[in-house]
Amino acid sequence: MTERDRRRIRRPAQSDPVPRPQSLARRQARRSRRRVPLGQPSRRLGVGLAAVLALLALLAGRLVQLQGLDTQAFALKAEEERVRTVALTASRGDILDRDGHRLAVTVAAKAVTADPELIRDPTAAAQQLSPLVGVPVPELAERLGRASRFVYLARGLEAAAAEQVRALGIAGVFIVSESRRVHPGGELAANVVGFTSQDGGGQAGVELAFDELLTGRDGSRTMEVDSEGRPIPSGISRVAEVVEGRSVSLTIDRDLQWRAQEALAAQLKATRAEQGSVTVMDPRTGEVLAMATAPTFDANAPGLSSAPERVNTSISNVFEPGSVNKVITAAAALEEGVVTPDSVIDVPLGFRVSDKVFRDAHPPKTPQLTFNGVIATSSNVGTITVAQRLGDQRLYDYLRAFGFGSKTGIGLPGESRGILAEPQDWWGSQSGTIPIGQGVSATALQATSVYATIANGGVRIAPTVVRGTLGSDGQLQPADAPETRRVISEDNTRKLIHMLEAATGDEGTAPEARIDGYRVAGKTGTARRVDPETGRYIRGDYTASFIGFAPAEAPRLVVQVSIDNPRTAIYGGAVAAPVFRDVMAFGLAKAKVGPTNTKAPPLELFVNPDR
Amino acid sequence: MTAPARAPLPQAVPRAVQPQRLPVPRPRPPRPPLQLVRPRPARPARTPFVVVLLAVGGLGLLTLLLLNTVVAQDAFRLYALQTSGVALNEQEQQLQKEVDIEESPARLAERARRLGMVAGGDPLFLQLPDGRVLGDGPSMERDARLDIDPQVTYRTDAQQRWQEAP
Repeated sequence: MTERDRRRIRRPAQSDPVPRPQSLARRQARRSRRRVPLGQPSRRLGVGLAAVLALLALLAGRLVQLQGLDTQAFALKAEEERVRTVALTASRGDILDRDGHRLAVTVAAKAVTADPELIRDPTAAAQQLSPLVGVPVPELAERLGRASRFVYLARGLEAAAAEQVRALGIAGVFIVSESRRVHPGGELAANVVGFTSQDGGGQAGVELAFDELLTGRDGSRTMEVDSEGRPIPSGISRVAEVVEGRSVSLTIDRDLQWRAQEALAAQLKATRAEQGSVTVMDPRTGEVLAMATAPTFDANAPGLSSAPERVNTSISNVFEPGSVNKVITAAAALEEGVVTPDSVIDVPLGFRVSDKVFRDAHPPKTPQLTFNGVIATSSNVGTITVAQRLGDQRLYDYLRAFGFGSKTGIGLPGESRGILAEPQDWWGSQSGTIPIGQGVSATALQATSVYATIANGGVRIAPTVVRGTLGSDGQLQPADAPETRRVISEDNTRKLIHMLEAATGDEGTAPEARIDGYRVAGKTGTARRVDPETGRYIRGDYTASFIGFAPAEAPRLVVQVSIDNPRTAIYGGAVAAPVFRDVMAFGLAKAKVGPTNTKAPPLELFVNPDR
Repeated sequence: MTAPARAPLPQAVPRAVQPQRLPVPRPRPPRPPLQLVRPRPARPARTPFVVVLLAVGGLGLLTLLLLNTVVAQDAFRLYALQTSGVALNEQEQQLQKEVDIEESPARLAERARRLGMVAGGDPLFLQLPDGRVLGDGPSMERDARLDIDPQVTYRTDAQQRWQEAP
């Protein structure tokens, strides 16, 4: 035992108080018991502990209930409040011309909506809003008085106008962000581009044909947000990728399109005609550089136009081509060896086929013409004579090969196949009318493509109006190459082109189509028009056409002009050829095709009767 | 060291040296047996430990707070930038739209016409590399056909009536 231990041991000192006798303690306890029941500290502690334990038990029970039993429900509720899903709208692709100029774009806009139940005074609100949103007061008042919780007051507003509406501070009127489709060119290529509905879906033209590609696919972002709506960075975040709409690049040349529309409209006004179309194609590629129709509409406000104005008549309306079809008969005849360009053809004053007698519009100068002359002077009789030698079946085959009776494959909505009956269904006189382009119907595009085939050395390329599509990276993904098919030999094509050049010559029917310095080849047409309801020709109602290409030695552009029911003159050479000249000259200058200043080789058209 | 159950009593004084007799102590109750109390281990002071814990805890909380603030700060900034980005985007779209409208051929032709300009006739071509000039160029006489009416709208009488109908 150490010293420390000894020091620790405390011996009861002498002076220690005497331990209390036990009786005293007992007495004190009894006293306490009698006075206050909780006097004993242990008791107090016990009750306090019991109370606290009870509270704790309550809390624990609730905790168990929240965490253990109803977890799913509460967790879901909390998540619902915190988690917000935002739709990532895919922006609609643009529609561009071949040089990238925008023909249709989507811009951000504002819509004014209202909750009619919150509107206290509909008439006063309507009066305040009417000048700002451009909707008449009665209509606004009616909308504000409806028994619904949501109504559109105006859509497609600009930000400035929306701010003015917001500044009014009318309770129950809200500004909502939306998007609007704008066509900066207005009427420019409206028939091709088409338009969209208020909600963004394509309704006509390219907007409809490529609607899925242009729209893309909406995505969504799911995230946790705080009370202000700001995203919590470390919370859940899920993104469904948005597929942006792709832009479509057309083959249309904006300037050429405008010139075509303008020249056509001017001529329609001057001749007081009903309607017309102009189509420009590049024969080497089949691309449509311009497709103009008149009357047309403003793509920004399709509702302000009538339904016929919105139709792309170049592909939807059919007409009887008339004399421009003679080139098909000629091509077939040459290719099948029925005639040669110098073959002598009798051209009597009248030619009977079945029950009809056919005559020429202008009596021929000589009783016989070379085949060159038949085509150059557009002799009905001569053409029918040759067609008789060709036969119905072969003529039909060539008509089909040139694209008649089937869709061109351009891919625009509302295209017509045209009307071409099978040879066994041709009634008597159709053997005479079809070779000269009556009794068969085609669209302006089909007729243009016939001449494009000839301009392309006899190879038909399906017309296209779309160059390709662009993604948000701006890279062009070219469209599939169009299908090609050889219809006639290159040699025969050259012979045909010489004949067609004569049309703009002195003996030709279209001196108005001449362009100084260039060799122009083409054909006029003056066809009777059919009344779709009666199926009969309308007296005095003609379609004046001219389809041609230049330069004839190496064609770069094909231009088709058709004008329906001109009043001041009826012949293709007088009505359509001037429009052709304006558009073709503009197109050649734009394409930087210089004048060749060569002369067409002289052709013998007439057969001297003294021979 | 194992302490004995009882501490040994102090050594009795040898009999040889007999001091005066001590008074006999009063009889006492039996002494409770003495036990050696196990020495308690030396405890280090508590305060430094508590302080260290608090410091670590506090530092940790502070760091967390700081990190959260920094991240949240960026989140706020991101939100503000996104909002302004959207506004600027809309503004750019508006301006681009206006440019597109103004540069459309019809608009340009109208403005040219108002300035008194006329459409050029057939152009002269400069052939490279030999430098030949092709074409006759525009005629000096005014060609009425070149008076371009930029308004491409055309309506028949029937359509005009439809247009004007209420």
